[in-house]
Amino acid sequence: MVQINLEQREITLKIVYYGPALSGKTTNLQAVHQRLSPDTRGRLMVLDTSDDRTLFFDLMPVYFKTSSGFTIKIKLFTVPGQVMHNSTRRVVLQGVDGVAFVADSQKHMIRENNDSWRDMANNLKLNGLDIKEIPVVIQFNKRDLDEVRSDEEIAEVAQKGTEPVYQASALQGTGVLETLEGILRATWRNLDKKYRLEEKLQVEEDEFISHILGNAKTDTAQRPQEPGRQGGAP
Amino acid sequence: MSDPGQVAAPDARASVLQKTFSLEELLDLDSFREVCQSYFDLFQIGFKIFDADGELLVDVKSGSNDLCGYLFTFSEGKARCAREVSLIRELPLEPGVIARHDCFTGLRYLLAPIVHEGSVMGRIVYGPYLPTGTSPPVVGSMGEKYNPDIAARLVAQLRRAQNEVVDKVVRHLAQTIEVMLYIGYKHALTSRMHVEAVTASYTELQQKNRALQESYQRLKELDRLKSNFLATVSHELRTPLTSVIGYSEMLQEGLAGELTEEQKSYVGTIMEKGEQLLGLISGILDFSKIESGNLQLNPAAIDPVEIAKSAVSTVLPLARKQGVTVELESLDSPPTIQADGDKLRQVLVNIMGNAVKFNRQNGRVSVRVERTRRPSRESGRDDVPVALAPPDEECVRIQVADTGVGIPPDNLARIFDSFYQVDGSSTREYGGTGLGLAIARSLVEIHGGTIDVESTQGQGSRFSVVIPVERET
Repeated sequence: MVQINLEQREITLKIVYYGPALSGKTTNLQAVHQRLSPDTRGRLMVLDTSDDRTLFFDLMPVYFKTSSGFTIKIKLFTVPGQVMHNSTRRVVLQGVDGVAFVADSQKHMIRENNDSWRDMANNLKLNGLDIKEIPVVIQFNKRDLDEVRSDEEIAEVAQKGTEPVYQASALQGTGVLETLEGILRATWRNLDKKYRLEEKLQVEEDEFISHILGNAKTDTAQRPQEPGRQGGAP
Repeated sequence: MSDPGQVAAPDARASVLQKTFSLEELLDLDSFREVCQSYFDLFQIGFKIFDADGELLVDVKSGSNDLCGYLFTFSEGKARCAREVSLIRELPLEPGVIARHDCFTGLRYLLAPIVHEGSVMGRIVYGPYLPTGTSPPVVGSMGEKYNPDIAARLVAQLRRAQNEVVDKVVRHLAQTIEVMLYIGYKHALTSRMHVEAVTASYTELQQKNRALQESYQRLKELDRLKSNFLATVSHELRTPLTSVIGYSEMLQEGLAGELTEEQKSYVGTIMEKGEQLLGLISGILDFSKIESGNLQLNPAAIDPVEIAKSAVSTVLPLARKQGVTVELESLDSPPTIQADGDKLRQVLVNIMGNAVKFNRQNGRVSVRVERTRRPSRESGRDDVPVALAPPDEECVRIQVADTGVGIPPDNLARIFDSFYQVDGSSTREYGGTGLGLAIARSLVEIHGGTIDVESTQGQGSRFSVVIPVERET
């Protein structure tokens, strides 16, 4: 839930990278961290185990000051993907404003993607949130691997679904900023509808995005695949 | 029953991830003061740290600055000093920008914001110091008692420093504090997150446990109802069946007029099948009574040899039909035991019946009754010294050995399970429900005894029933 502090002229948004174990959520955040200007982002806090598995979450704050003097902060979180950390995922998901769902493109991971999606829907529900009310974008990660679902297949499922779909290789850094932009825009629009943010903060969506992404160039060739009408898990 | 996956929706603001921390919460103040003191030791310029609300957290004073103290003794000086203090506390600061403030004495302060995640959480007020290259300040009169010579002497003692150097030091101090804040923040998040995750798991487990407990209670109740149902139905089935058998018997005995040989044969079949059915129903009834814990024993002092003899005589007709010899031997004179004679006979008839049924042509069944001892339950454990363990228990062992088909080793452990037969197809060949040995085991266990089996496939099996002489009450 967005935190608006009018007295301190500060607003904090929460974006969570969700998805099955080892789908590349932390790698996404690391790639974003490398690409954003140090003026815009804080340190990347990685809380992992000795074998590089996320233990609690990763956190990277992104912030800027609007011309109207408001500080806008976006906290980017990842959840631990391993099944046993469900309660931690639920805690991290509390008060979320937007979700980037990092799915694994590999063919044999379809079931894990689905399980994780259901797990997310259930955890949102247990947090009193409705998945239909929370902006979600889906990223098909690991496009650089063999044995992944084909581009045509992904285009087709993107067409059928309601969520914007992105393709990425977080390890190579492709598609991560597009995914971030996608979820930031969707979240901003959703919050603007609810709280009239643009009017209150005098910031338009494009300005909001350019403050964060700045010169971290977005590859325009990778626009989201346009969703159709029917919903469904990736 | 509630869904075990459901947990109460937590307050969205409850998690530490949503919490806004203050400077004091993220810094370990004692360690932080040590760091500040070490900065002072290095550069000999005093400084103050304020939080976002203007509260003073650290004050490192320079011994060389007595000028301020001197001026503060005059009401004029005090008032002007207070104005300066409120100015440097409230002057708005931007992240990354160091502000300069020269006080009325001409001394300089540098104001640096303390920034965490893009927010100003406090400020460093560094100084005062006298920038090198500037002429010594001339403080105007503070009143009658003001002595310009003292003021001039104190000015001469002031710490002089280059602006560029001080600027670097302040930036470095701000960076050090920022790292300390980050570490404090990381520590606060992980430690509290750990507690939150454990609490969430605990709550979830508690709810699941409650749901499991509820379903366990329901299953227990259902099981009890099932046993009651079985017992009632078996009983109700038995009553009319007794009449069927009774009237068939009367027919066969000619009480309703002489029957032809064919009619007698038919009635004989009705009786035989009726008896079979009765046996089956009695078995189910016994089993359901045992299962529901409703079986009542009528213990009395009985002679185990007599019981064995009686069981042998029951299976003898079947044995003769199958061409199987049954022998009974009693090596010593076994003592009388406290047991329910009917139930014990039922057990032995069952085992001996199997020994005959599963035997070969011209096979043999040997029944042996003998004294034995077994370690009492406690002495079987090694958590008490032998000296303290109770003595061995006196028992009677009844062994039934056959020369039949034997039991495959894999099946030995399961033959006492209810409704289990070594070969499902053998039910048709040998008959029975698969309840006999399960009932036998239950009956023996109710007596505080044990039943075991050894078998060599193709050579035969040996069942041993051990019943304690004294029944535990």
